[in-house]
Amino acid sequence: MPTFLTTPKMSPELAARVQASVNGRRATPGSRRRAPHLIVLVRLAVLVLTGTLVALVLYVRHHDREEREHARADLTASVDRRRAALEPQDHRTLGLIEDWLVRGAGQYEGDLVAEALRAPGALAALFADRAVYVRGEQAGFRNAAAVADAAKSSSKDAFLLCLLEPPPERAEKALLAKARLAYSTRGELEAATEHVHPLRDAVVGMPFLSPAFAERVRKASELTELRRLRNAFDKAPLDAAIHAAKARLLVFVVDEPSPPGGTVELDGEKAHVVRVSIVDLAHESPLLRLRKRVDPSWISAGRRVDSANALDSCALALDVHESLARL
Amino acid sequence: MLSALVMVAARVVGSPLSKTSGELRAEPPDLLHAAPFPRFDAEALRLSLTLAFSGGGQGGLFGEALDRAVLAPSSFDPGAFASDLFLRNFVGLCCKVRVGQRDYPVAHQHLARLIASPPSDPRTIEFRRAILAELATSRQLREELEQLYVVLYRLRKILESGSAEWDPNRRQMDILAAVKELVERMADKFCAARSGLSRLAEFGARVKASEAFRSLADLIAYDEKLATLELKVSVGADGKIRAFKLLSVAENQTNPFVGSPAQRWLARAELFLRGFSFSSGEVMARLILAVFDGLEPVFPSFVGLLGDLEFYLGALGFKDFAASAGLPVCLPEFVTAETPRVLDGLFNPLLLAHGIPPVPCDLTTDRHDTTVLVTGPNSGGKTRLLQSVALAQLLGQAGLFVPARVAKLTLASSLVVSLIQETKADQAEGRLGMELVRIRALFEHLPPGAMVMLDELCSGTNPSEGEEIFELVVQMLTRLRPQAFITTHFLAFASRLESAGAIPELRFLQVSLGENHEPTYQFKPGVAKTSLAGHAAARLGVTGEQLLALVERNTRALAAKREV
Repeated sequence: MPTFLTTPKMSPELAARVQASVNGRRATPGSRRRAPHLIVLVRLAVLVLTGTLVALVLYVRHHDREEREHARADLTASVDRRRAALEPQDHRTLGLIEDWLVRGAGQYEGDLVAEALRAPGALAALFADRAVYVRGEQAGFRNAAAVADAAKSSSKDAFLLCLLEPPPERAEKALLAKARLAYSTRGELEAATEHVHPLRDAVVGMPFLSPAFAERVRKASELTELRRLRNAFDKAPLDAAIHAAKARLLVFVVDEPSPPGGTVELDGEKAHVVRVSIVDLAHESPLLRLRKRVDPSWISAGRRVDSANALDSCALALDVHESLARL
Repeated sequence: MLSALVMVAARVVGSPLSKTSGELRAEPPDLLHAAPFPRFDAEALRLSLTLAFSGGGQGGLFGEALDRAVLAPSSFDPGAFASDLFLRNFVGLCCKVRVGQRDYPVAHQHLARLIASPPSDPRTIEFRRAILAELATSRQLREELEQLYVVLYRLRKILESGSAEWDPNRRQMDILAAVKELVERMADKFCAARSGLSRLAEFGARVKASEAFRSLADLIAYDEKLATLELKVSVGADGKIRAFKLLSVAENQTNPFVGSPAQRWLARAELFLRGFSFSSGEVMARLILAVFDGLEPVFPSFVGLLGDLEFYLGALGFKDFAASAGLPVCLPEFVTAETPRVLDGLFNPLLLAHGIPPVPCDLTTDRHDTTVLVTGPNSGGKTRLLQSVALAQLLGQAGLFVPARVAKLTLASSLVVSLIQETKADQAEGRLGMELVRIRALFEHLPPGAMVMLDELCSGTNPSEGEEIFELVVQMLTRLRPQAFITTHFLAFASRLESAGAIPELRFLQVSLGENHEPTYQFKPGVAKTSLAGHAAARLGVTGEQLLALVERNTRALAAKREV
């Protein structure tokens, strides 16, 4: 094989000797010598292997990058598509709700019933629009961070059902029927309150539609992180969150701390004061603000064991209706 | 450092390397023999030199090769005279090579072997004498030869040193640079030589004209100047350099070793794939090896040349050494055996070597093929005379200067010197017995026309019986027509032989004595009347009075010791 050590300017004799000199190989005196071909083969193999490894690494890196960018673009597109369903004011809804909740759990501002609610059927008509509902301990609404936690443990209940579809009479049997519907798994509650969304949906889903999430997607450097974000995004209740963000009505119930002593039922219900508020989010004005006392002592001993809270909640809804009729 | 080892191995197994070397044919410049002949085991020497070049640690390579060198045919047997003439001492102390103020270590054994084996071919003797004569008369040629030796010595030092603590490429480039200088010096500096020194010029010219030498010159140029950079340097007020500006870069494009930068990188990558290391040094190592391979056939020449130069520079060193003591030396005139022997201003160089100023003497005999009986007092210089004559004969026949101002000698067929008889622990005979064994051995090997030096023949028995053997030996010896010098204290016997004249080849020399019977270390015809043993005894404290004084002193000392 010709060698690069020779030049055209060399005499043929010198070129031949240079060629011969590279056909040999070096060896250390006293060291074990291997066949030249073995060294050449080993070095070639190492070079080829190294080259292959480098190419493989480059390919994998390139492939990963492409996959990552594809995943990023896909996720970004999904986020943008979902965000497109939101109006600019929708992004403010959650913050507005938090403000009203914190305000509602603070110093009680006195009972209030807006004029619009005084007309018969006004409440039912009000709930034809989208609404958000949440109920929690007073302490759970002390600030925005606490609101998120409280919202996550709150869902539609017997109060909401009885508020929208009050039982025909205050009899324990009638209340119990409503209460059972509220906790039924056959969907009666959802059907009766389809325009009302629990605040939990907004709290859980809205962060995925926020600019912060889009920025996080943009900055994700690993495909695994993007996959994790994608997975969380797919599982998030985005439809419900979008609906919640578009809500024009906020209904919330604040359970004030019960006084010390007194009987506590097996489901945790005991006599305490409850604040019920309805807020017009579109106009940022309160429609209803009532403060009622609930006490399960009126419930028969047999029902009080397992349905004290539901029956009290339904009774509270009747109280609201009665207050509207009375005021 | 290691590349050549591999190449050597490749060459041994007959790799293509040896076939592509384009063998440079240049017979070594033999300065010792009129008709050059192979003096070294060429293959073994080439292998050793190649290993040495590669840095394989060939310490003593030159010395060992010279010690094993084949010498010109000689009828002389060094065992018959070398020890009695203290030849190694003579070489070591008298034949020094000095250039400038520096003494160079000479391969003593080789030089002693050369002197102890004078060539049988008279043309070779004349060849050497002509070279020495030219060197002795031409100061310029001598200086050039000395400088050539200095370069050669440097080459030897580098070759014999390993490369463990040296950059192998640098070392090999130094070797190649020394070779280049050697060849150029030989080719350019000895053109005017008329003697055998002209062989240096012929050899240098042949090598210089070869492709291998051109490659060598190109490689050295490549090593020294790959490219020329033209820089503009700005210097500030404080004298410090402020800026460089590269004005131009010019590569030495005409040099066959210069390739493009890309080619140089490709060469490195190629070597790496071939199993070498990935370095520019490795590329250089391959090129050095390729150049060395072309020059390899001339390397053995340098080994022989070193020995040859030491022969002549050693002889010139002897001449200078004697001259520093006011003792001239000369190249002898060789005459026939029938013509007179002349040794004017003869001195013993061994005395000079040991710091004893020798007293030159004039020695003349009417012809060479005689047996000379030398008589005289003890410590009168008889033995030293025999050494001096033998050394003169030996040096003269080796083609060298002899320790005499004027010398006319005839060629001897051999040399036997028997001056010192040491008692050995395992000797089977007594003193006379050993002497008789010596005489027997002498006659067994002595050819006609040899030079024989015998000191105090038959001194180991009673004079009357010893004289009979003495006469018998002399009579038999003369039949071989030797140049014999025999010392004896059998003065009466010698006088009787002189007066009887029964043996025509006998001549008689005696030590000249001064007015007070002290030896003058000069010699004149005749037989001494006395050995002046009494004088020697007195000089060495062996008179009756001196011995009696010693006895009394010892007696008194013993008595005093007993009293205590």
